[in-house]
Amino acid sequence: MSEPGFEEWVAARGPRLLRVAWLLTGDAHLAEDLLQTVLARIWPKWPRIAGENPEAYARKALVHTHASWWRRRWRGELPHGELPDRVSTADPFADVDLEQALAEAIRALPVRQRAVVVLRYFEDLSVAETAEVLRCSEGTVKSQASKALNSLRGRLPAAVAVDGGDPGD
Amino acid sequence: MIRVTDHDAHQDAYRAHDDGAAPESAPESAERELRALLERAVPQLPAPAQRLESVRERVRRRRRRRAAGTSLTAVLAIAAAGLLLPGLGDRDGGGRLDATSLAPPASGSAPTASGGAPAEGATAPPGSTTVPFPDVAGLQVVMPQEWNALTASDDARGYVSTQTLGLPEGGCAHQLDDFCTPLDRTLAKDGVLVQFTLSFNKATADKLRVRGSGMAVAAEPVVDACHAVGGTEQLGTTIVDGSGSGVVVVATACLSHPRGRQEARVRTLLSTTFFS
Repeated sequence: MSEPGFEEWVAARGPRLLRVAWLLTGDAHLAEDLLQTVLARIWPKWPRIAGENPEAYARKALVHTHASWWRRRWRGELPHGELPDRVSTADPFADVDLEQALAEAIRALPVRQRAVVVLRYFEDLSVAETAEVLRCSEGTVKSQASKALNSLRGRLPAAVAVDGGDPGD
Repeated sequence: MIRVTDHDAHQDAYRAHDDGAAPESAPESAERELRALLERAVPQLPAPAQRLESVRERVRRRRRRRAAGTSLTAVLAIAAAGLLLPGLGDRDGGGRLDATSLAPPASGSAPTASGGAPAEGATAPPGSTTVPFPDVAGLQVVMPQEWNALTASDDARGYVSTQTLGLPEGGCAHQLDDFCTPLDRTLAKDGVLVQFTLSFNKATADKLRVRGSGMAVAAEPVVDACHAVGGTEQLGTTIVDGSGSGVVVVATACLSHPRGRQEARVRTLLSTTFFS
């Protein structure tokens, strides 16, 4: 087992994968647990996976393992329905609040939509690639993405504005 | 660019989009903004110093469990496959199997495959047998005698089914939905496949332990993998080790057009599973 290769890969890609895990779980501890669960699955198979695309394998494993957790363990845990109105321009902790607001908004999404947001908008996969990971049609990805955007739009604006970058702004 | 502000200048564009009068670029713009927002707001979390050691420990624990069960499992697998159920392993010549064609085995016979034999000293109701899964933290499954059992050591999973089982080439690496379906054939009507997946989560285990041995058996949405083998219903539960080890086993049952009696059997199976 080429553990050095595995360690180097974890060192290089671990931070990004942990962010993916955070976006899926909305919680730092769960994210680390999710990532370690996936890494423990990857390690024994590393010689085979290393020659392919370990990051794609890990990404897929994160999404499906999280879906499994969510389905079976934490289905009853739902986020708060409303976001606290605590973010303002003058707030020096705005980034922290933004992170929390995003975590709550993301956790409010159904798990499938959450996965689509992660893959499409954080990992920048194409619709086809996202569909392949989620094993669904491209139409499903598009509709889930649209619903997710609508949902985030409804939850984030009270505290967070998403500015399109108006040149005159 | 993402702003944190109370004044949401972009809301007009959003509202326009909602009204169907948005410029064509609105969805793309919203997607671009979301990407930027995620990149900014998703935290850069520090990696715990012991991450790799924790990963190694998870793998080591799995291997220790596997090693402990290897000898017994191998002997029982040979015995079960070669002697007790000669048809096992002859997938091509076995003919179509369905629930009604599974004749009860001779009294005292072990379940098929590498799941093992009835646990030493274990008592099971008449017509049932207790199957140990050493690779799944010593899980003990009380199941009908005519059912089959299989261990997927690489993934620390156990399976029981009304039908014959056999891991696909390459194991369960390419499973759908975290649910592997090591069936020789798709589920017949009234057929059942149950997957037991081992994981460790101290917090979850402690939380569930307070409530008893785990969660209640509940109906779940049928995942694609279950659908793919003919499943029409899905039941699930989570079983925790009462010793406080943090061991959590997720049990998922995929059923195909189950009769009431079969569903009741599965619910009983899921709720009577325990750790040795």
